[in-house]
Amino acid sequence: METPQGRTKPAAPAAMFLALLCATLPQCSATATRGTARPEIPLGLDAYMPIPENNQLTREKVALGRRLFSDTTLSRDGHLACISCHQPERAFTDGRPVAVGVFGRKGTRNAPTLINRAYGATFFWDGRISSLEVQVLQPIQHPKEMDITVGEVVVRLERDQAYSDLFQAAFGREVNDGDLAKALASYVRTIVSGNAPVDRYGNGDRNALTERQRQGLRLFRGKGSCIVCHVGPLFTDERFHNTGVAWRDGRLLDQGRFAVTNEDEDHGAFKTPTLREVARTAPYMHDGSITTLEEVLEFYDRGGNNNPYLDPILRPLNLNAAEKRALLAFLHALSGEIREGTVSTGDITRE
Amino acid sequence: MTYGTRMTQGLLAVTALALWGCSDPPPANTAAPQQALGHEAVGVRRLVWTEAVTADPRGSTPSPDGTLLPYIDWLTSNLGIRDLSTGTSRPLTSKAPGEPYQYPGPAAVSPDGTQVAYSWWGENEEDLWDLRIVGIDGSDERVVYSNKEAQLAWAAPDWSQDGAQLLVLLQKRDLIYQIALISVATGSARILRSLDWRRPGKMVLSPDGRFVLYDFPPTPESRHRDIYVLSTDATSNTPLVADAANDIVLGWVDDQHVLFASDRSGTPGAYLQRVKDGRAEGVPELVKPDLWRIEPGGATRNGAYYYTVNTASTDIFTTTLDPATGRVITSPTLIARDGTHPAWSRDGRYLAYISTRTPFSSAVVRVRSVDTGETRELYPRLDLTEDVAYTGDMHWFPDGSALLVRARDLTNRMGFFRIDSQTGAVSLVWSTGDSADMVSGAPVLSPDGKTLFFTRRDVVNSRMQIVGVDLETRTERVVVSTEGVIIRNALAVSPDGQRLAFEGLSPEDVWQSGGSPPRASLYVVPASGGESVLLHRLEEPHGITNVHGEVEWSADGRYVFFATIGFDATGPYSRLWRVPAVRYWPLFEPGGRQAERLDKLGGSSFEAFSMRMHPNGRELAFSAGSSGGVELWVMENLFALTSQSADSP
Repeated sequence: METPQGRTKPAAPAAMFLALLCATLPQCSATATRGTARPEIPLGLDAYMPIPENNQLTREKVALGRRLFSDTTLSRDGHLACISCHQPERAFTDGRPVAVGVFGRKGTRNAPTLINRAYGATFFWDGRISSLEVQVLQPIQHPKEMDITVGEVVVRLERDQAYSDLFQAAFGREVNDGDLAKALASYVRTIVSGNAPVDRYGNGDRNALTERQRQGLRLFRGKGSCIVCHVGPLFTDERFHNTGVAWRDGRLLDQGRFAVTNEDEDHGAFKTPTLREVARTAPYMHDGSITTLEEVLEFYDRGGNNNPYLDPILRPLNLNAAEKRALLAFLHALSGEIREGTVSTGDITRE
Repeated sequence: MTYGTRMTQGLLAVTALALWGCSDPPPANTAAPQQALGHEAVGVRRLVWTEAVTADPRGSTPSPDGTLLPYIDWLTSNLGIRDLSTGTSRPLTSKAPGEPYQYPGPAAVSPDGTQVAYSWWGENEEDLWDLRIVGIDGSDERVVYSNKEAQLAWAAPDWSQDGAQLLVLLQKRDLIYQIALISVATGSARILRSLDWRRPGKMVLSPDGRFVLYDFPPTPESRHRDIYVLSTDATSNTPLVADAANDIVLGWVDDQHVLFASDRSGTPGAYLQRVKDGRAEGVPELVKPDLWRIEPGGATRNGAYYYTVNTASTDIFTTTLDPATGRVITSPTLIARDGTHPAWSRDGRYLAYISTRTPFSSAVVRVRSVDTGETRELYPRLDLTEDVAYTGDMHWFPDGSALLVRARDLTNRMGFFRIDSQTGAVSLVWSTGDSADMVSGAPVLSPDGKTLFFTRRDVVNSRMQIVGVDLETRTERVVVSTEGVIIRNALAVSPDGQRLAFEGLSPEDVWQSGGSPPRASLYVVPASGGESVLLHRLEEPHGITNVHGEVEWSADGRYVFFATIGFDATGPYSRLWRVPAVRYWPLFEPGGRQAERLDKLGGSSFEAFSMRMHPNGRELAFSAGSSGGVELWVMENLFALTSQSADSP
């Protein structure tokens, strides 16, 4: 539990666990009441954005989180920051098949985009985490990513007076791991993408999509059956499906969701990713094994990779060349405006 | 199933919510029976409205003073308004007979009593549900909101107290539902929250306009509903009533009290919940128990709550035919109450059907032994009520191990599912990927169980298809594709698996509201594909059945049976017909063949549908019953409870 001063002792797993627990339990939080804010929601996204009661958005938290997001202090080798794998210019991905961590260590999964994660139900490709406040600390600790304990991060940040001041401003107390998580989560919540041509079209602007894109939209909803999984404002059902991507040489290279649930139906199943900004987030799939959108379409056109656990919703689509071009055109219409750090009480300018 | 016929879906959705509940066995009491807080003070009475069969007030909300109630006039497809104090009714809209098929949805009177808001569907190139307002005197009808990409769902809008906004339920073309506020002045939409394929029941704005009250399943796998409060400033979405019971919204009594229906005590009743700043205070109090089949209406300013009760019922019957003549030789025998969609197993030893008889049950599957009469229940984790009821039947797999059904899973995703006939376990057979642009009908199974066939409507291209799916290779092929004929959901495979019979409507035969009823036709096509041949053109100006569109082959494949709905002095009745279907090609007869007019199925006021022939060719099972009526009821003196509630610790 937090002391009245908010200081926690570093590097004690039990203490850290309790601190993390406190970060998510309303009764433990010391609520900052300085200027609560909301992100500016672009067209196409819901006005209601789920924000936990014990981590209401404030300008100060977002500013702190934004700074931490870019700070290589949060990695063991001092060269890696969150932004290294989640680059704003790549719609918060990194353009690599799999993430590369400290000392060049390669991970096993593609770095997913962070856009619109405030609306997410679960996090990571296998959905093992259901809280953004918990998720943001995972890559920091992962040996193939930033490979540092949260306690060590706290120690490093404590040495920086600027951070002490920022934590005080945001939370009214000194640096601690619970508030570290809250600040990062607050910033991630402000990363939103909307006002894409498809959103304007959905809002009644019939000229927002070209004729080819409109044809692609019809295929997306019809013959392509894409909306079975890529549905709603986020273009994802946030459920888990085995499309056979992990099936190679007669076996699953990655068990995906099964490792979390131990349910047979989850063998090799991964969370449906959002299709917003998909034209900017190559390569694709949980392992980045598909390089281009054209190849993605070919993959689904042939019905995925057959395997014992293939989701029965997958089947050959028999798309012709014109239909594939139309679908491709539509997928480009999902690229809109990305905002980050923008809250209703005023913008935060990236340094 | 056309997008425009969501009217029936919506009605069934409302009915399903009224019959709401888990398909699991009724839960143990989730709470001890509540000490009623002066519920004797609340009166419940029925308002007699004998026309409330074609005059349908379901889902509409009354004027704040409780004197006026909108209704849908199904005879004229217009919106009407009933003066509950004088018992008189008058139209509000003025669609004339012969105009293209259009009709209104449930409606709501404005807080100042001068306007009525409603959804309206028009069969035009847009095939669109829009939001309209009309003056209480029928003047100044105007479209407030119209967007093909996000249309009005079947639900009464709800006015803000200042009359400036309307709370609506939208449905996008990917079938996702959205809670939205529409500006009356500009028609702009503010999407508060997107849900999924499932929809809330009643949605209501608090009198102070700060909150939206709605019900929704708490998880993707939930079979029950909880009640939520969504702030209109979009800063919070809070569970108000969350427990294992099935809870649905009735409405706000005032800013501090919510009325909801729940099965928490074992039977459905109305409960009052105190609310402060959108959060529950204290526990719910029982207002009125035993409110079976309640369908939400609306509250008034004087502490009354109007609601409807649907009295329709459907049972399972069998009758015996003479295989040689097709004549009915026995009176229908009641097999089961509250059942629909009978399906004989291939060996004829079992009869499966959908049942809603269990308390609050949305659907269970029952399997009855023909030999012993013993019945077992299956609880598939599917929503069977709406879509199976509308679009078709169950079919047994040839080995008797499972049933095939069109349904939605617990996230309302449409598909064809396999239900294990012993355990009720469910697996997806084929995903139909339905959207507003591509709509599938119910599947039928070939005798060898290797192919399923279903109808599909490509809304965008106005094309109808019959599609065959090879379940082994998981490939589909188009058997019939037409722009000229509307293929309805009556589809049947011949016993030898070689032919398909289906009901179609040529363009000139499409229903014209207020005008001539449709004249349907029967067609036959080789199951492998090819030219469709007209088998019979109905002489009587009615569809094959009133809702479900059924055809059935005789056991020897020599005839196609169908039923029509007729009307006599006592009301509707069902008549059985058969038409010879042998050697119809290449020696087909232009204009189709003559059908034999057989017997009435049951007596008068007896509408039969979903008929299925026993493999022995002699017994016919079917669903039938009364279409029932709509009863209008009112709960009064609720303010007596709210004042007592306020005084309670």
